[in-house]
Amino acid sequence: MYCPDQEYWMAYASGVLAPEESSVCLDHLDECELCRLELQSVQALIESVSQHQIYQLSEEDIDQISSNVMATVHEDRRNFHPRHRASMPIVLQWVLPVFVFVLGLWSGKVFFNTSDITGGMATQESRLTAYWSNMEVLFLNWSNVNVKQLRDDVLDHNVAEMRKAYASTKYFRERADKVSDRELLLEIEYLLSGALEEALYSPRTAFEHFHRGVREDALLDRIRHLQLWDAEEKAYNVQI
Amino acid sequence: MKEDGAINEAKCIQQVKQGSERAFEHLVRRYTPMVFGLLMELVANPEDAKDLTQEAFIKAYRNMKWFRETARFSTWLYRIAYNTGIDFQRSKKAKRHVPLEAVNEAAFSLEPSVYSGRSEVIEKGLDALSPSQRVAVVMHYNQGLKLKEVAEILECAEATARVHLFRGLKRLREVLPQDL
Repeated sequence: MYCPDQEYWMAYASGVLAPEESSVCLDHLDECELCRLELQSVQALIESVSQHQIYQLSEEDIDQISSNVMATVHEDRRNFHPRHRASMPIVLQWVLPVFVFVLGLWSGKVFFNTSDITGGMATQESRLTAYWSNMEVLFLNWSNVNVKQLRDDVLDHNVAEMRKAYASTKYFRERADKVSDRELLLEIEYLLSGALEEALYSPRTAFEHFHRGVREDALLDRIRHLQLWDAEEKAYNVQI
Repeated sequence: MKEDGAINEAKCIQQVKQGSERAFEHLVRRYTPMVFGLLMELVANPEDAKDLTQEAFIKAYRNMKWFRETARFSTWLYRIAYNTGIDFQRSKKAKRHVPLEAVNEAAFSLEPSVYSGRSEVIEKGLDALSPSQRVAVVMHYNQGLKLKEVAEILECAEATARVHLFRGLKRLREVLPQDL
């Protein structure tokens, strides 16, 4: 076997070699004087390092370090909590917790208001519930109309009640006495079914519309479309 | 420290966690020489090393609640000290690394009679190592720590610590006189 280079013995001495490699090294050592010397040299180096006098501290130094550390520790223990409280500006002591509390309430409100209607897991039923709830809010804001009742009135063709509900809204008050029974029925039905459809297929848009005030214009547009459609239907009927 | 040696370290640490300053002082006095020694290997300036020793102990005290008894306290403390020293070096941007030529020159310029103080030669050689190599070599061969503990201090795998050790020795062989 050729003599390995000195790195080999360095690796052996520092324990990097695998056990089987080490045994090869040892076998070779028996027959090679040069490698024995090389290994001895490496071991002498390790011995020198191990006997190397590491930096020593005097007792005074240790006393000083210890007392400095303990002074800080003592101060930490004595002052940590009170100091932090005292050093906190008075504004932060009260305003910050209140701000965090209000922020929590607000974010909770936003989350629970939107999660039902926008959540991907919401079922159609829950969307419908949310829809009715929002429609209720919308109409209540306008006029205290009970939308569920209005829906029932539409289904029952209860025109008198529908007219009464219509009259109590801000936007449709003037039309309440002008439109015919059929127009009233169509308008409200369209109004409700249109909004319902939107709530079913695009609940987020519906929700945003309700809260951005876009909804009113959209509804009025729909009514205008309805009137056009109704006029066309009348013209068609006349032709027939 | 001999009389302190009788005090059970685990019990002492438990007392520190319960708020005993006296128990912590015992640990400080016991480990100050070792922590200082480690930091001297890193910063090579006694005054800086003393300051950093204090800093390391204060960090240890403030983080004592995170210390788990499954590890050795000395290793945990060394790791804090090592990180403190490395942070200090980074902040100072001071490299302890000495060019090879300078080390060789310094080592060979020593008179043979000075070899009785061969510590100085070794010191010059150690100066040529990287912080990881230096810590691995000194902690393993000089302080008698196991490779696993060295790896914990350096926050690396044991195999990596072994490589640091090997490279450190190799470098020492390069920079120190062959007839050391």
